[in-house]
Amino acid sequence: MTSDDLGDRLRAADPAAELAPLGPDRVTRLLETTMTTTLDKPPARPRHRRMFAVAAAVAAAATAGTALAIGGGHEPARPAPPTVTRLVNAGGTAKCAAPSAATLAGAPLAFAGTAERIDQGVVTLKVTRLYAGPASDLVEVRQASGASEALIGATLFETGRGYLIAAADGRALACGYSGLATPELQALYDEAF
Amino acid sequence: MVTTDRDRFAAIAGALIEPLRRFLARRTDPATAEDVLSETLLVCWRRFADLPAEPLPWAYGVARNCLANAERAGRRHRRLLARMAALEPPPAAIPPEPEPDDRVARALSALRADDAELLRLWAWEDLGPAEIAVVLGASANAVSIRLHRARRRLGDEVRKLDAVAGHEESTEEGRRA
Repeated sequence: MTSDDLGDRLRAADPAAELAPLGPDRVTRLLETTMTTTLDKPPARPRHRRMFAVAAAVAAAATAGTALAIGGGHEPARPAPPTVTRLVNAGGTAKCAAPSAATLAGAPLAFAGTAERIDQGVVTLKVTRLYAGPASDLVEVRQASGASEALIGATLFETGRGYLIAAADGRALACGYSGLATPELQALYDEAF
Repeated sequence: MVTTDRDRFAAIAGALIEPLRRFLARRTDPATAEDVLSETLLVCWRRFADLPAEPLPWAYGVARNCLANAERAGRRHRRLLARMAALEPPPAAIPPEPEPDDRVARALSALRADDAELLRLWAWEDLGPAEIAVVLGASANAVSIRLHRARRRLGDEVRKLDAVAGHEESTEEGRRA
C-alpha cells in the first residue's frame, strides 16, 4: 500500500467529514463572547453574554457628595461617603451590533475606572475619568440575583486593571461598549467624547 | 473607517472556527469540543499579538493543550464516579462508531498515541511536517522522521486487519516490519 493509498483511506475515515458548519449567527455570538470576556483563566463554559443593567435613575444628576443609589437594596457598610454609583449586572443574553462611537456618545453614563476591589460579587471601581453623566468617585457593580458571582468577580473584573464602562437607556452592554480598557475600546471612547 | 483589533480578530478567528471544530470533533465528544473551542478562542484573543502570520497550526496547538487539560479534569471526574459507584466504563472502552473504513480507524487506534496523532494531523488536518511541528512544538525534521515511521506502522496494522478480513490487498510497495 502506498502512502497515498493510506492517506486516502485515512481521510475517508475522518469522523469530522460530516460535521455541519456553524451558522453565521452562532459564529458571531461565539466571537462576541470571546472578545467580551477578559480574564486570565478561561471559564469552563463561557457561553452566556453578560450585561450590566443600570436601573432607572442614571440620568438623575448627582452632584459630588451625593450617593447615587442605583439598583437598590444593597447599602455599602462604609462610613465616610465618597460618591458611589451602583450598577447591577443582571445577566441575560443579547445580540449586539458592532459598537459605534455615535451610539456611545449618546450614553448618559460613561466613565473610565480602575477595579479597586472585588468583594462578595461586588466590584468597586474608582472613577479615573468621567466621559458623561453625573460625577461619582466610585462605581460599584454587583450582580443581580441569578447571575453567577464568578461571572462578575472573576470573568469580567480583576483588581488593579482599568475598565471603560458605559450605560445607555438604563443598561450597559458588556459587548463592545464596556470592558477592559484596551487600546481599541479607548479609541472608541476618544472618538465618542 | 479604522480597522480595529476587534475587526481583525473577528476576521482571523472567524476563519479558524471551522477547522478548530473539526479538529475537536475528531478527538472528543461534542460537549467537550464546544467548551474547548471557546477556551481556544479566548486564548487566541488574549494572545492576539502573538498570533503568527499563519495562525491555524498555532491555534491547533492551543486547542490541543486546552483539550488535554479538559480531559485531565474529565478523567479525575470519571475516576471519582468509578470510585463512588462503578457506574460507567471509561469512554475508551466504548467501541468506535461505525465508519466508512472501520479497519483503518481500528488500525489507527492500535498505534501508539503520538503516532496516531501525527497521522491525524497529517491526513485529517492536512498539515505538512513544518506545520505539524508548530502544533506539537517539535522540530520539522523530527516530525518528518516520526511521520514516516508512523505511516509505515499504520500501513502494517491496516494490512493485518485487511488480511484478517479476507481482503488482502498487499502490493509491491507493501512493506513488512
